[in-house]
Amino acid sequence: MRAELALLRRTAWLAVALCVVGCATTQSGFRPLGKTYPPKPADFAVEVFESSPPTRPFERIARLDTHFEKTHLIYSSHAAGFVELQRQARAAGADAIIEVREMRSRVGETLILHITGIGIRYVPDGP
Amino acid sequence: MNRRNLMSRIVAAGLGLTFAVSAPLALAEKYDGLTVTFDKPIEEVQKAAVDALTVVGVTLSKQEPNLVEGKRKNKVGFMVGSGGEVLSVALTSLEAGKTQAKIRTTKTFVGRAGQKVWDQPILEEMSKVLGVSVPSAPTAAAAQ
Repeated sequence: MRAELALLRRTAWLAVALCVVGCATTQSGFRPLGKTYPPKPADFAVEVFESSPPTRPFERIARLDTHFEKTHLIYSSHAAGFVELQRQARAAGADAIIEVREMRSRVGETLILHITGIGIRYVPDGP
Repeated sequence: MNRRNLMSRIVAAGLGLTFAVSAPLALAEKYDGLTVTFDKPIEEVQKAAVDALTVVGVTLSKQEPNLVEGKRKNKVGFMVGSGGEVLSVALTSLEAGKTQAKIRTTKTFVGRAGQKVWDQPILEEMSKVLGVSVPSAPTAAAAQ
């Protein structure tokens, strides 16, 4: 009886562990739009322009994507998405992000958040 | 409620459940994806396909000039979870800078109940990336 209980407990823990490990996925990446650049340091502050682009001249260098899917109706926050998008911008060597699009959808009990944007690099003003 | 009545209800529920599960599978056998034509060269449409598959959470396994393909990761849920679909966009270059794209979702055995057909969202995203209006798809009715 005791052995059966222990086995049941182990099975329950295994099921919980599988759910925790298998219920969420995050996929992020960037696609260079032309010339590639070295990544920015981890503490570099990437600006995000959600409404209008910066007034300084810039070059579009990469398309950035971050994708969160969580089952059990677990919500992915806007802030977590932007942190990940900024991480991708740094990896692409971008100074800032423009043309941000946030898309939310749902498949059954899975909540999906996808954020996409364009990584830019400031270019020096002309002479 | 007598025993016979209860048995007939259980059998009816079983038949209903079997129909509910098998009907989408039967439809899926006839389904052959969405085929559309974009007024854009194949290189641009291929990049748009890569971006569109990324937006719906696909991990790309093939990025060839004529084919972009990948799979959505399986997720464990309380009841059915989600993911596991294989999504592909096959491209054919037509005359005068036009490209035909065949967008197809293939459901897989594991987690099939929580899977969905992603063709329309992919078509809409490709159109958005290319900056064109969503082209009409002659085979769209088959996907419904």
